Amino acid sequence: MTMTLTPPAETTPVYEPSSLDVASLLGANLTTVLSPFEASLEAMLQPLLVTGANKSPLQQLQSQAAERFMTLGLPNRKQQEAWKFIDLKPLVSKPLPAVQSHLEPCRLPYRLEKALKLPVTLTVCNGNFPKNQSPQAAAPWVLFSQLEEAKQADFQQWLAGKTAQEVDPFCVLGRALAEDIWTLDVPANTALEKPLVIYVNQSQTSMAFPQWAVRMAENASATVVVSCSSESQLQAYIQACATVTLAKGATLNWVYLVNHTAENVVQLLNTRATVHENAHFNLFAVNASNGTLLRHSMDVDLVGQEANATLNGITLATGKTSVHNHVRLTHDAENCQSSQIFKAVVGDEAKSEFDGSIFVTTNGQQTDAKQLSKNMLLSNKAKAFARPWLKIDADDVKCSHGTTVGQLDEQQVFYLVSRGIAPEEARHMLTLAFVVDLLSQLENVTGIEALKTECLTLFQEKLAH
Amino acid sequence: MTNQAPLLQITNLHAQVANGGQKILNGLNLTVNAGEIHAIMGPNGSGKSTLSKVLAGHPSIEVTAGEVLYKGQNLLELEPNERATAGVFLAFQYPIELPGVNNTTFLRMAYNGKQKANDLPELDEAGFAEFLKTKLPLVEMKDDYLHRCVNAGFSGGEKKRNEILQMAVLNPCLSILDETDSGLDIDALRIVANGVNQLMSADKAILLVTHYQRLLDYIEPTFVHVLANGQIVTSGDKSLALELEAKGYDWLLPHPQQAEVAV
Repeated sequence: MTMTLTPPAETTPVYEPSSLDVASLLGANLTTVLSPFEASLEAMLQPLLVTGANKSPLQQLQSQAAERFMTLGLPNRKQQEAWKFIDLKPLVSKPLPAVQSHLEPCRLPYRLEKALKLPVTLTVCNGNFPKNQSPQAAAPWVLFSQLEEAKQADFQQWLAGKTAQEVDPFCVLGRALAEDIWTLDVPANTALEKPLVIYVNQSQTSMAFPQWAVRMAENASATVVVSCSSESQLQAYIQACATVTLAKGATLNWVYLVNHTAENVVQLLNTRATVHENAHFNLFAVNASNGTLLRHSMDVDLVGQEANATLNGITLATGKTSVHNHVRLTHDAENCQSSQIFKAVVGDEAKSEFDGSIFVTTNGQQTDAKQLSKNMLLSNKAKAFARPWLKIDADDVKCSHGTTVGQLDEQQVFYLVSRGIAPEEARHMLTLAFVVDLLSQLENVTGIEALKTECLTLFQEKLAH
Repeated sequence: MTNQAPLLQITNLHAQVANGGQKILNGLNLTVNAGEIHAIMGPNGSGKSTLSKVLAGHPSIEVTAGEVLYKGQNLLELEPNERATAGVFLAFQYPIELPGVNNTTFLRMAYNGKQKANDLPELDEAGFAEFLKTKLPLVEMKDDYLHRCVNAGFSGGEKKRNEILQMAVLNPCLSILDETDSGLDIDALRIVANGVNQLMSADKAILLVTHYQRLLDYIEPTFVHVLANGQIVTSGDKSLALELEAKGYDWLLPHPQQAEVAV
């Protein structure tokens, strides 16, 4: 595998294991005793690392990803800037949830379906890739293992290339452990009429490694809504990755709605997008999760002239949740535009971090890149970190970045209260007012206009809780 | 005087900026009966706006002594929102902008808050829209103000009209208008004053804080009071305002410098 693009800026720590010994990789280099987490991870990875012939293309992808994970190792907070603010303890302090032989069917959170008046096209339940979802329901998604041979080779080559250049260990770990990969090919000049709705739902202690690979052909357009949720008291680890590529003139709207009610949930999300000439990639990530840790890593490469990316994020973090939005956006062609707006409302003892990088290569002349991170703290113990980075190697660009951290304006609160509105309600109104302008952008996407109201209701419920 | 309790009775009110700040009100006394309009005038810094804030319960002002009874009830014991639902309304001198808060939603929440507190039926969106339509002509406001965010990007005149629209929606017994005339052009002043006049009735009262006699041409006061150094130093009928316009406040104020010379 040859690398087509060196990962920008970030220095990957070099681990040189003498053998494929998981223990030494996981930092337990001086002791042979594995932590329960390391032991459970080793048990899962070991079968994938066995060399042997007769591997299916999917197994080859999994093995390659497992090897890549071994090369990268678990992130080191002291050495890797991107992980500096992330406490992985909720994940690594206990063994991974055991793979269940019997999984309950999920009770779907139907409210979103109801709000959007759309059928669910895909369900990933307790980590299961249900093989026999009705064709109508699953269409147009096809499992990698079910692709015809030529297409399999095609996808394998593309995804293997992505794995080889991936620097996020958890992203490749997810690919290694995924049972299968959902693929979507939207043909040229085709607009998928209805938004595709995907549920990733946990109803019992489990792991889920959903992987989506989406190829948008020339002038194709589609909207995908991914809703991640979990119920009741359970432990879950969700490692999801969407790998997308947009050919000339294509448009893809990708919406994440993460809403775990269970607290013991670690979700690591990866979005990898390659955007060619005149194509538009619009990502909207809404998070109102109670889960312990959520990291969403978004790598977007604008590689064709006048490519466009809009990345928006709204976070409502309460309780002891820790939410991290990490963006690495690369302008690698002329006249590309990008816009990032990330807003976070942080209450209780929650933590929110925005780490956003814009890289403009020497090819990125006439870049127009905007980045904004706005944070509102609702309590004295809440924390918000904003870490904007710019690395510009072209000499004719427009790049702006800004960040704010503030609290509710007491004059505004008093104004509402003086009209008879209860103080708590007034605070909720003003908190929602902080995010509503960004949420309104959902109204511009055909088919998911109702998502704005749904998100507002969700936030209102969380705040009132 | 009727045997009914006054709508508002302020006795020996002392107040200062919260957390041990400057003393502003020094033993203020005022009685307001239903059906009356009281104009409060006075030089800058005399405590006019502070009096408004005390009545509305603004946290920046701390009452150190005295009593305020509203309909015979201790007003100072009530939270600001409880005062509002009980029928006290403050039209802000500088209305606050609330970007992201829809004006109609805000008005409906305020209205329903009051209805709920008084065990009266609340209105749903459609019902409130109908109700609001009847209030708009009072302040000659167009529908499109309702779809905007509260005061955000409103002109000075629009903000003041929006205050009076809130007053119309909440239908308060006691309205305190804090320099509602400031920053208004002649036409806007007429519109705002007309609105206020239409909202006044025999069972209500208005406290009109103003710098200028001009407003009193449109809203006729029952009494005019002059506030200086945190006290009411003189009261009279509407002719007092005309006299103030001609002579200023100087003749009503003590002159410490001259006193020193005399000693």
